[in-house]
Amino acid sequence: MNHEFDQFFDAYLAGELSAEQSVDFAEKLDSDPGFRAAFVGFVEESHELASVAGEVADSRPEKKISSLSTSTFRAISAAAAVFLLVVAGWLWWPWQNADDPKFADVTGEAPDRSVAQLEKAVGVQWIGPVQPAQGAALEPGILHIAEGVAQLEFYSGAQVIVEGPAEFELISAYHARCLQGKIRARVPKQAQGFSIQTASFELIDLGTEFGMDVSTSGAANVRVFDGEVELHAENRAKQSVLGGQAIAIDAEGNSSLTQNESSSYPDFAEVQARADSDAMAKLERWKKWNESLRSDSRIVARFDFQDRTIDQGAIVGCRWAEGRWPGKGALEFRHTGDRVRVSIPGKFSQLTLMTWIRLDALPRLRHQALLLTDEYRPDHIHWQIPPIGGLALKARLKRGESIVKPGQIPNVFDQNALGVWSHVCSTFSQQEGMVRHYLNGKEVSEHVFDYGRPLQIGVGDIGNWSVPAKMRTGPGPPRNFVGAMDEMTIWNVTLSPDEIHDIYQQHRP
Amino acid sequence: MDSDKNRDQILKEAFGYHKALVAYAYGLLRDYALAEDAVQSGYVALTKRFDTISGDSVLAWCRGAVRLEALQLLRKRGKVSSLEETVLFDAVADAFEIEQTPEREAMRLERLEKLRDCFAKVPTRSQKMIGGRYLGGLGLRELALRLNMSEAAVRKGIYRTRLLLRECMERTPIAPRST
Repeated sequence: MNHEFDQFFDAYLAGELSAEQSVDFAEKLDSDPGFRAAFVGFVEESHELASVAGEVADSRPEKKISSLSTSTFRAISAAAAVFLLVVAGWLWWPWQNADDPKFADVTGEAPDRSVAQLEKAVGVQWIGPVQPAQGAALEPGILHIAEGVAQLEFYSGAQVIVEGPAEFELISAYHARCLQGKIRARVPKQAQGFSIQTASFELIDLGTEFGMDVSTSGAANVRVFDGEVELHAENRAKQSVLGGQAIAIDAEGNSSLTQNESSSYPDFAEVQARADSDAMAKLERWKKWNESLRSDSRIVARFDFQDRTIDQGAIVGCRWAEGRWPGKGALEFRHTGDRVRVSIPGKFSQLTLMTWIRLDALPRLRHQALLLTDEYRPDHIHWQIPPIGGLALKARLKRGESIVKPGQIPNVFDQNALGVWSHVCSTFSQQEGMVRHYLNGKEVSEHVFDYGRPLQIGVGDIGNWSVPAKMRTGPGPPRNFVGAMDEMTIWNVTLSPDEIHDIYQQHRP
Repeated sequence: MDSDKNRDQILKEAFGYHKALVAYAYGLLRDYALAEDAVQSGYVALTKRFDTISGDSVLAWCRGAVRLEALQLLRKRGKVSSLEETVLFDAVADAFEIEQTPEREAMRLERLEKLRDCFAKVPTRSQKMIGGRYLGGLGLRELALRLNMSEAAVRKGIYRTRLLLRECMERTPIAPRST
């Protein structure tokens, strides 16, 4: 290989060529066969170096600490040791750039645009792309509800029930717009000034509870249950409405007090009762389904985390908690040692891994285990959430193997997924040579995985990673999951997208 | 049945070019992780449209799909917005189309095996320098800061490590393949 151009090629790979140099570079590639051949050779060599460096990093995850705990560590001063630990921490796999913008989405430094939280959703049929899960943080945007009732908690402290059919826009923690639908708002003193705009007027709350019934024409009825609100319409003087009063407003903004206001408004106690009843019905449906799975011969392992016991594993640490509904059990993983030890024998040419999780953190530089087999052995699966909030199902290749490995899909989970129950599923088919990932019943990615042989699980951990002491390379890096899990099922078949979607729809919170 | 067989043969051949395609995508994207993503997307496209390969070489078809994916990835990041960048992208793609051949690919596994053995022999610090530069995609300045070295020292270190590896590979006999 001709080495005289190495620095030029390296500058190209690092994106350090100026506009003028880029044009020169392109011209040389076109016109100079020696330059072109050297360039392709250099790029291929660089790619091979990256690949080999990756293998080395894979095989020595423990280097983060142990390499510094011996001679180097003793030889330097305490201050230098601290510095080196920081450097080593960065240098440890996967040599990723912590300042890379792709990590910004999942760090605490990323801007939080949310203005409210979806506290309850009872029988809600959403229309359009925004279909938040219960508990989700809500960013500014329009919620379209065909039917059902959603209870929102604005970060200002205002609580708003929206009953469908409705079109309700969140603008800020203190401001919303209602284009259609019935709402009821409870605004504490701390949120005084909270306002709701319609097509014909704006209502500013002065610390109260009120209802609004807005039609698509812009006409509306307003009833104040307690306290006082102000109505502002264009070219009209503001109007105060006191507790016990009701007012009708036409599409032009003309208003009049009325004694015969007939709208019925949703009620907070009623929404709570409906939410409780809805949750109970869902729990009962889930229990029946759970029972039916006992006779499903395709299931090789199932952890329902109900009744505070599990048959197929040993709980280490963890804490029992509430799952998707009151009465549904879940395991909470908080500490670095929390895990469920499992042993699932067999070789699987098809696999479906499915779980419900509540993710409570997205560490900046750490993988979180869903199901990791011990060590990192060929054929044995690693199912986990990479640091960029992605999803990955992999198995280590044998040394020197040249087959297509599945990548990981980035950014499946972001800050808005924290604290929310999510349905996560990954499938593997040896025959198809594919791995597919699903979030909340929808396929989010598919990857070619030309593995050519079955995968195994064997001994491993749910929510963590154990590396036996006898392993030559010593202990592995932490992979503990932070959040809660209220169900995990492993099938020896590849469930279809429709089956996965149905399971999600039937049992979502 | 014939169609399945044809599909399997095409996919098998295409998967055999995996490393060549990742190198090609790496040349275009200059990012190892993005290159893997582009090749994955290219393969997914192939599994769905394998029947459109007629007469073309499988490697050429796959390169076409990867080129498209790479271009889309770069456009999403606003990285082929200027004329110079477009010209450079096309020139790099053309260079690979001329130089990368199935015959050249046949040598790759052997070369990789040698590189693996040689890489294991270089000092850990040099391995980390190479990993940071080509796997982590770090610039010289950033790498220098993180390693507490001067930029010039990092540049020389990488250059020397590559030379060392090339010399080692020239000396290394072909190891018997593990089964």
